[in-house]
Amino acid sequence: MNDPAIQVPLIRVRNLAFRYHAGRPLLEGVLFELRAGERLGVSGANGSGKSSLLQLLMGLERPAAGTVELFGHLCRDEVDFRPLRGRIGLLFQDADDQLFCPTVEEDVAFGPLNQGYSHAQVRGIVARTLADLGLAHLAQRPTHQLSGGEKRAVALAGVLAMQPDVLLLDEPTTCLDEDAQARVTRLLLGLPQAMVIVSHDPHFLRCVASRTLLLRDGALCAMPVVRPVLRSV
Amino acid sequence: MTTSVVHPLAHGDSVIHRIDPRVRLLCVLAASVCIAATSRPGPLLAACALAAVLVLVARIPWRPLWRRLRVLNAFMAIVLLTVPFSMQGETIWQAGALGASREGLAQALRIILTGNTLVLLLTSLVATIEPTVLAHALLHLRVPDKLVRILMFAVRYIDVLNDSRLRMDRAMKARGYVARCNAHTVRTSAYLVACLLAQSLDRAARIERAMRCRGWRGQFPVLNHFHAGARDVRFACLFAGALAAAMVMP
Ligand SMILES: Nc1ncnc2c1ncn2[C@@H]1O[C@H](COP(=O)(O)OP(=O)(O)O)[C@@H](O)[C@H]1O
Ligand SMILES: [Mg+2]
Repeated sequence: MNDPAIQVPLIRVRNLAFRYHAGRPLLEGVLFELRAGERLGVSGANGSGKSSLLQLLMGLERPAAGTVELFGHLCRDEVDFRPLRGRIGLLFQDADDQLFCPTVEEDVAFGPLNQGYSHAQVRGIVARTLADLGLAHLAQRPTHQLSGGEKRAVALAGVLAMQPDVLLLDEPTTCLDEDAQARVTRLLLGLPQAMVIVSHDPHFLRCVASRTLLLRDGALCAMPVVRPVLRSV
Repeated sequence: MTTSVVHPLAHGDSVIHRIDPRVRLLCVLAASVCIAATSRPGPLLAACALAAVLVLVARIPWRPLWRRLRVLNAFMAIVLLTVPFSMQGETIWQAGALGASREGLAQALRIILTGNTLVLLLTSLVATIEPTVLAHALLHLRVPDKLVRILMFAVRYIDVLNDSRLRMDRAMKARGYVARCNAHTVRTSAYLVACLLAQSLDRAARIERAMRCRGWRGQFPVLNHFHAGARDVRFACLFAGALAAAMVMP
């Protein structure tokens, strides 16, 4: 792992500004870098713009100012982002948005087929990805009949099937019960990819993130030191 | 998880369920054309009998079949009550100023027979196809891509949409809403529909983004393909033979 590519940050964001409505800025001067092997936790209040930040990183929204660099390439518009989308995978906040194919197998196959692999190769990738995540038994199930936890896991399989170098995870554990949360945590710890993990569960972020930033007033800042909370027994 | 809107007759393991969906669709298409083209009672009765046999072979449970037939025949009752009185011909029954004609009665019975035959055929051959497989089969039969995608997305998202409708419905009830015949009810229903529409549009936009994130460029790849075998050919020949025999009935 000594090649020079590692010296270049996977994601470099400088002075990013964004707004949905003129006069109501959402992000102002967001600044961060993500390097190989890093798991960056991003915490923040509801509506602070965490999901919007991930959409900006994928090129799904256009920044008002500032730059996004992915793998050392400056990305300005769709043409720049498109070839890199396979290398950077976004897990959406709502898994129902992501699972649009009729069956689990086809949904996981969607990305690799778009990447131009042959059918035989795609079958191999799908089988391997599902087996790695312990989801092989779901392959033929219709996506709309899965439980919440299964949906999240299958959506992640769909992202991983494209073999990305970076994962952007939007609240991967919300709406999951404790068992499913623990499974997702274990799963994430076992993955080699660098990640940006959005969550407002401090316990979960402590478990999986190597460092955590707080999105507040439109900018990323260091997490304030938390005073020990009084424990009632 | 709430119950699905899409009703599963497709989870059977009869002989019919194992026939290639494309073959079944073509059989239904051929039979519909023949049934629509004939007007003599003999062939219609024979076709109806053929459809009934298929329903038995497909081992369709009685309850969903009965529900379908009930809906259809409630509609057909209107046909029986109006058509005989609206056609010219030999009067067989007089009710005040209105007279029912023999030709009208025959026409009404033909319509009823045709309708029931088609429902039996669709139930035995098409309802037994998983909706998603049906979509694939239609794609393979060169039905326009866009139409099939609409079907696929409808199948996928109708439950999601129904869930949000049920949630909103429950939230409204929890705040004391009762549907009445007044302006408040009309306005609230309109809000509900508008809200569902807005949610669907938002979701459609998010789905489109999710698809772009996974490299979508406007073309849908198909992973699974169908393979018609000897059994499918045998079924097609048998069906064609039976249909031809029915059509030459006196
Ligand atoms: N498509 C949109 N159009 C207009 N406003 C939006 C849109 N998406 C999100 N917002 C608004 O932007 C703010 C940040 O949203 P979001 O990035 O989803 O926050 P978070 O994920 O941190 O909860 C919210 O106030 C939200 O209402
Ligand atoms: Mg969010």
